[in-house]
Order: sequence, then structure tokens, then C-alpha cells
Amino acid sequence: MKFFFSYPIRLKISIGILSVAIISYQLVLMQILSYLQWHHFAYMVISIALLGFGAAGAILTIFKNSLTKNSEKVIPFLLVLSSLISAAAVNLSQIEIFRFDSYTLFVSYSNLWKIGITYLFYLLPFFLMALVIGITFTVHADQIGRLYFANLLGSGAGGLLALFFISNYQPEQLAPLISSIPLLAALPIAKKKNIKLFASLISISIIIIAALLVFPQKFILSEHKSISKALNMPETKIFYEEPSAYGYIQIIQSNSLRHAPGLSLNYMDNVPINNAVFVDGNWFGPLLEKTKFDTTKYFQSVTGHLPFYLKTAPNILILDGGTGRDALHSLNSDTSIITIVEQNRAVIQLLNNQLADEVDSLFNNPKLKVIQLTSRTYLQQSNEKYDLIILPMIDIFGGSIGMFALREQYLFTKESLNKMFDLLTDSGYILINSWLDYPYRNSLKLFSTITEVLEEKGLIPIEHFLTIKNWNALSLLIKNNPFNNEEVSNAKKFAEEMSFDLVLYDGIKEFERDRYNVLQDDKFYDYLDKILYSKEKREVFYNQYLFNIKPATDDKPYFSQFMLWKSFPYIKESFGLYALPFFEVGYLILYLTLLQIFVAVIIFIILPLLKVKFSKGKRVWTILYFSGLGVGYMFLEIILIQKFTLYFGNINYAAAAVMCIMLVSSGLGSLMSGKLSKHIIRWFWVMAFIVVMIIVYSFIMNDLLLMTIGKSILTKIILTIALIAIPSFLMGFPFPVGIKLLKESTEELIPWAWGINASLSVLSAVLAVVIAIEYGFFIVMVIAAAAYLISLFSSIFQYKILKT
Amino acid sequence: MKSLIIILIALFTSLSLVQSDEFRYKRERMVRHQIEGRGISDESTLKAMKNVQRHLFVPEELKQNAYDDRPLPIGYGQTISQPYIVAYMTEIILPRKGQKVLEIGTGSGYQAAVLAEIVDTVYTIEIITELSNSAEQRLKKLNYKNVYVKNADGYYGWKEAAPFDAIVVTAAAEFVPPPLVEQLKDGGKMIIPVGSPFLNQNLVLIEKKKNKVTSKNLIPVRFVPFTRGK
Repeated sequence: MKFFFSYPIRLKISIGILSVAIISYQLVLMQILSYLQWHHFAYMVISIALLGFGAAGAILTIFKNSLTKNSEKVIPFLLVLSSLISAAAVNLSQIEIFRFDSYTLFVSYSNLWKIGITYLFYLLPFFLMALVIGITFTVHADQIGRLYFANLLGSGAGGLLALFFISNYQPEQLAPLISSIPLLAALPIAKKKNIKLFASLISISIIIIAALLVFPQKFILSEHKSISKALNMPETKIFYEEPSAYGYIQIIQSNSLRHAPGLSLNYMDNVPINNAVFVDGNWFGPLLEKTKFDTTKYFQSVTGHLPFYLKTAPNILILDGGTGRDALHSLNSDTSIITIVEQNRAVIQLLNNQLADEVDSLFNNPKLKVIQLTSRTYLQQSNEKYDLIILPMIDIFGGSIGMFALREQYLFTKESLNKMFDLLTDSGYILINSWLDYPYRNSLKLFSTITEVLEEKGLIPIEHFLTIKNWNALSLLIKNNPFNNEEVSNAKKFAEEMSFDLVLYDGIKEFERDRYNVLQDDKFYDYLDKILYSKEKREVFYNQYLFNIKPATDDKPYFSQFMLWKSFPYIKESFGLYALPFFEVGYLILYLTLLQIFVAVIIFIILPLLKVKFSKGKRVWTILYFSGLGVGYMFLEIILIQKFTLYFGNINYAAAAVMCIMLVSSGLGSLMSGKLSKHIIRWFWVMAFIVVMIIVYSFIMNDLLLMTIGKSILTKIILTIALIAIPSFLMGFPFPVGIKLLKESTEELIPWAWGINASLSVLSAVLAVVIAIEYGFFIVMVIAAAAYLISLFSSIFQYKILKT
Repeated sequence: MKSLIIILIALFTSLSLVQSDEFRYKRERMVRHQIEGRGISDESTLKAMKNVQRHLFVPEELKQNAYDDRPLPIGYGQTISQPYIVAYMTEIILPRKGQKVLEIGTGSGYQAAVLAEIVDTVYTIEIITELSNSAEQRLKKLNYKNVYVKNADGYYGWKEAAPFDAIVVTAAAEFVPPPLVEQLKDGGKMIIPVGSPFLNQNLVLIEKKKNKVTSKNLIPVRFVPFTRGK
């Protein structure tokens, strides 16, 4: 058998293909766990990948000689094995005795060992694939620039490929699809000597993967996911499903599913039955058919009807419009144009085309203008004036179950509300509906956010609120000018007719608040007073309250993140530990993941290091240099994904684009790095330049992006590439240069240096989110710059050691 | 041989008696600590909570936890409520002999059994067929002749048996179904939980007086654990 390319070239191709598999497997597992459980498990996947890399680094450090001596024989078999295990891992974790349900984590402790087993299933493929990378980097350290280029290029492509697979295949098919990639990676480097054995192994793998693809095992979702609950109802079934870049879309047909937030207790007619859309097993929105049911009276009987009761709004903007429920409500009023903004392009396309009948072709209504963007991006771009802006209902019915705690919500930040006020006509309203949660969190954060925005505009907040409630929902109306007497008296009339209570307006009387729907105590109103009337009292209240109700900002856009450390004992005492997963466990999971990663770093990185003998000075240098690179790179990547999500209005594409541009540019940088190791001083300059660029970005990037957000797509793409590619290109240099220098001085440290860099990169993906939640994005950027600065100093220090 | 069989039977019987005594002890302790201790004082409610064998309403593997101070999963994403909440929901509707009560969300049948100990008739509706069937069988086996179970959508209530003195909704609902309000007697009370299945300590009482419907959010949440018997 004769090969067209030499072994070193084939090896680089293999590493590139394997890197595609590693990143895409990671992204696909995140998607599968979001579908089966919830998206916080993304962090668990990250930590699993880290453990895989860490464990591979440790094994390599300990068994360096035997693994590297036979690397050409070992690598193809490791690849085939990783392919088989990655194909089977998800299916194994779905077997009943291993299947965990995170929602009942504290109810049935057997879930804990089941999570442990699942962890192991998911860990093995990463361990094997990482071992291949580690062996290659160690054996071929002299070609590290090119190998690293292949690694980064493959990783970039892996992100795109995962997005393609997620958009086009069922969740059950994702793992088998990805698992075929390591097989492809094995082919170019197969040894002639073992070809028979190798060919039979490959054939077995192909048969297994094909079987899993053609006859996918149907996933069983947690019984506590909203779609599982809906499907428990009689005569309820999934009648349409489709993969998309926004998650797995499923539409159910039901004879008993109804949706009526804010409905009056006086309403005595029928509540319409809905079919409904679910994305990744979570509620997305109802499908209302006007022709089947006259919705006029139904919509007139909900708290959210208040603005329509007060006056006609000719020009309405509906943000995060979902399946069009608010649009249908608006169409019932005398409106001329409705702009509906919804980022989930896939659902909109469906309702526009194949499933248009399900919503009576609502999205083809000539009065309706559909914008497929994130709502915040549209707000930044728009210059139109609206009479009514409707926001999506805050919170999910039955408690937030922590769904959005760790998700950036740029629509509910102070800056976003400010922008909404700018887009309102003088007499226009903003309508926000919210479930009345208890303990009060969403409602209080809403009031605090709006109050601070109004105060910063130099207005007296109370004059700009008009709020009503029923027994479990609130509707807030706000406007640029104070509400006049006529508006207040009409609101009172509406409340009287529907047995709603007025909650807030300038001059409200105590008795008006609890006429029909009495709250358990007066605390809610007491809290409102603290928020509304005095800045000092508000600040004291923020610090005293058991949950975080400080307004979200663009720098910390976590509106639904309410947990503080002091919240946990309160929840445990008042609700019981078993309630935690239904409350808001994301914050806790994030910290637990971080803790677990720290432990993993100590076990897999630090302890093996102690076994390796080398001088103390070099050890410190290596730790600092490669840790700094890992932290700095990942922190910047996380921030860039955030910034460009807002810029382009789509998280999936922004994440894929940022990752791709960064990794390819860095790959090119590493390719060019060969010469730099010979010109040490230039190396220092490159590092210094990276530090300066990150600092400059942390000050100007936000404004620059907001300034150009309304420009043509071409201008935005060019600017994006320029902003990301330049620093990323430079950031591709330091890693291979460092490895090369190690090769020349302390070769035994290479696997360990690679392990610490990979581990710290993964750790940083979680750490960046923790820091962003607690301190904001600006601080994350500052730390990124500091991390590169540490690497710079450590390299100067090392240079001095070498010189002396 | 005969004597061996007799010994075995005696051993088995005494084991069951020991177990049954153990559950009775746990149940009495549950009523004393978790229910009376938190301020439930209605005699008929306390008696009913003492009488109904909660461990027969939970899945086999959770029997030992039946009298714990928490809700337990019963499958299909549903739960059997925490004992205190069952007692609280029972007491708040002021159940008395001669009354007719509708329950929406039979689940395991436990709440229906507690109500059936007090009132004349309990009508209970469960939307999930499997739960409805198993609850019906269980209640029959336990000889609750005054409980009627129906597998249907609770939204429509039980028109043929209406009006009701009280309605107990055991699953959180985002709105109150109009037919239920209609089927409530004038002066009747409806109790409904707010929140997720494992979080349902937040309850709302809905009252109908002269065709005017009002609501009141009730305490729970901050239940004080164990004020007695420490």
C-alpha cells in the first residue's frame, strides 16, 4: 500500500479531523443534555471534556515512554476505540438503570450515582481523543506550529459541523454521526503492518454506527420537562418535529392544553384549546386558531388587555413574539401595523409555511411585519416610533425552574429599556406581563430596573407606572410622560369590570391593591415602596433582600439570576432541599462545576506533575505561562461571543462565527510562529501587543459595536473579521513558541504544559461565566489582559534564566 | 412439617404487624409534628390524617419515606403532596359531614382518601389515564365507597354531580377553569396551588359569594418546622 502524502502530513490531517470530532462531540453533547434535561448541563459537558484532557495529560506524563515509543501503532487504535465509545455513550446513559433525572436530584439520591455513571460514559471518548492529541504533540513537538494549526483549524470546523448536524438531524442521531469522524481520522495514519486487524475493526465500527443512525434509540426525556407533562395528557401527540439551529422543535396536538395568562376570575366562557410548540422539550408558545374560536372576549379578559382598553395603538412592536399570541391579541384591536420580532427563525418559517394553517396564516397577515432577529438587536437598529411595545411574559408558569438563570437576556437590561423608551411615541406604552412569583423575584427586579431607568432620565418613577394584577399575574404599563387622570380612571374601570386590582399608580390608595385578589401579606407593597421612592432605601433593600433583585445591565445581562449565597439556607428551610432543582439550581450547578474542575485540575494536573523531576524555576514558569494563555484566550472568546451575539442577533451563528474566526486566525498565527522562537524579543512584543489590544477592546468595543449595529451586513462582517482576526492571529503565536522552547530545554514538560493549557482553557469557559455573573463582562476582559500579562512576565523571566 | 408452616405463618404475620405498627407510629408522629405542630387544629382533618395510610399511596420503593416531611414523586411528573399541604388544603375548605367535594388531580388518591374520611362524597378527576386507573383500584381496595374517580380533563369539572361545597385543585393551574367556578356552590371555597410540583407550598383560596369571585393568597411557604416534640 502506498500513500500519497508523507506520514507527517497525514498525521496533521488526522489531528485536524480529530479536532473536528472533539469540538463537535462536545457541542452535540451539550445540545443532547439541554434536550433531555436542561441547558445548565452544558457546564457539566465542559467539565467532562476537561477531565478527559486532564486525565489524558496525566496518563501521558506517567506512561510517556511506552505511549510515545509506539505512537504510530497506538494512535489508530485509540481513534477507532474513541469512535465506538462516543457512538455508544449517549445510548448507554439512556438505559433505565443508568438514566438520571436532575429534577429529582434531591428526592431520590440514586440519581447521584446515575449521574456519576453518565459522567464516566461521556468522559471516555474525550479521554481517548485527547490522548491522541497529547501523544502527537509530545512526539512531534518540533512540528508543533503546524500541528497546532491543524488542531485549531479542525476545532473551528468542528464548531460549524456541530451546528450543521444539530440543525439537520434528530438528537438521537447526533452522537453516532460525530462518532464516525474519529474513524476518518484513523484512516490516513493506519499502519500497513496491522492493516487486516485495523480493517476489521473499522468495519465493525461502521456497522454499529450505521445501525445507530438508521435505527436510532428514542430518547426518554425527564418526566418533569414541560413536553413530557403535556404528552401525559390524553389524546396528545407530537404531530411535527424538526431539528434546527435553535434547538429541537416539536409541535404537539392536544385536546386539553390551554394557555390563558392573566385571565379574569369573572371570565365564564370557554378557554381555547391550543396546540403548542416546544423547543428542546421546553414550552415555546401556543398555536391559536382564530377561526376555531372567537378570541375577542378571551383577550379582553386578561390583565395584558389594559393598554388596548386605554386607547388604540396604531403602531405596535412585539418583542420575542414567539408563536404570535400577542400579535393575535393586537389584531383584535384597531391597529394598523404590528412589527413582531422573533429570533427563532425556524419556528417562524414553519408557521409561515408548512404549518400556516395552525395559526390561520397569522404570519402572512398584511398588517404583520415579521423581523427575524433578537429583539435587543432590533431595538438598537430601529428608529421607528411605536404606540405600544409589548415584551414577552416574564418567567415560565410554575416558577422559573432556573431556566434562564445563566442565560444572557439583553432584552431586560437597563440599556434595553432605555432604548425602548426612545422608540416610544409621547403617549406610547411599554407593556410587561409577569407571573406573580413567590418569593418575589421577577416582579421586584422588573420594578427596580424600570425605576432606575426612569430616575436616570430625571423623571419621577411613580408618575410613569400603571400596574394591575389578578390572582397570579401582573401587567405593568410604563410610558415616557406621566399617566394622566383619564388613563388612571379608565384603568380603574377596567379593573372593576374584570375584578383586577390596581397595584401601582401615582396616588394609589391602600384598599385598591387588594380588593379582589388579596396577597398573603403587605410585604410586596412595602418592597415596592422601598424600590420606588428613595434611592438610599432601595440600595439598603437590595443588600438586605434574600435574592438578587438589582437591575440587569449590558455588562451583567442576567435578569433571571436571583440567587445569592444567602438564598440557599432560606430555600432549604422554607421549601426543602428537594425543591431546589425546581427553583433555580443553575447558579449552584455552575459553582459546583467550577469546584469539581478545580479538584480535577489538582488530581489530574498538579499531582502527576509532582512525579516529574525538574527544576523549580522552570515549573513555576511553565505553570504561569501556559495557564495565562489558557485563561486569556478563553476569557476573550467568551466575551467576543457575547458581544457579537448582540451585534448579529443570533447566538448560534455568533458563537460559530466567533469560534471559527478565532481558531482559524490563531491557527494561521501558530503556523507563522516557527520563526518567532528564534527572535525572542519579537515574541515579547507580540505578547505585549495582545495585552494592549485586550485593554483597548475592553474600553471601546461595546460602543463601537452599538454604533455600527445598524450598518449593512457587509460592513458588519468586515468589521467583525477585523476585530476578531487580528488579536486571534497574534494569540496563535505564544503556545507553539512556548512548546518549542520547552522542546529545546525541558522536553519532559511538554505533555504537562499541553495538559495545563487545555485544562485551564476549559476551566476558564466556566470561570468566565461566574465572573461575568458576579462582576460583569468588563472585569472578565481585564482578567484576560492580566492573564496574558502574566504569561509575558513569565516568558521574560524564563528568558533571563536561559540567558544566565 | 406442619409446625414449620405454622412458625413461618406466625413469623410472617408478626413481621407485617411490626411493619404496620411502625407505619402507625410514623403516621402519628407525622400528625403530631408536621401537622399539629404547624398549627392545623381542625379535629376532623387531624383524625383523617391519622386514619389514612399514606404509605399505601406511594410507590413501593418510597414506602419508607411516606411519612417524611416532603412531597414524593409518583411518576408521570406528578407528586403526592407533602403531608402538611394535604392537611392545610383540607382544613382550609372547612370540610364537614354532608358535604360534596370535587378534587381535580387525583394523583395517587391520597387527598381524596383524606377528604373521604370527613365529607359525604368525593368526586375526583385525573387526566393521566394510568394514574387514574391505579388510584381508582387503590381506593376501591381500601374500601373508600364514597369516592368516585373519573379519567377526564379536569377543566370541565363534573357537571352531573355539581354544585360542590368545595373544590380542591391539587395541580398548579395557570388560570381557574370557568366551569369549575360555575360548579362551585354560592359560599363555596376552592383551593388551588401555585408553582411547580415540588414547590406547591404557595396556595390560593378562591371564594364565590353572590356570584362574585375573589381570591386570597395563603401563607404557606414559611412553615415553621417542628414547633412541638423537639
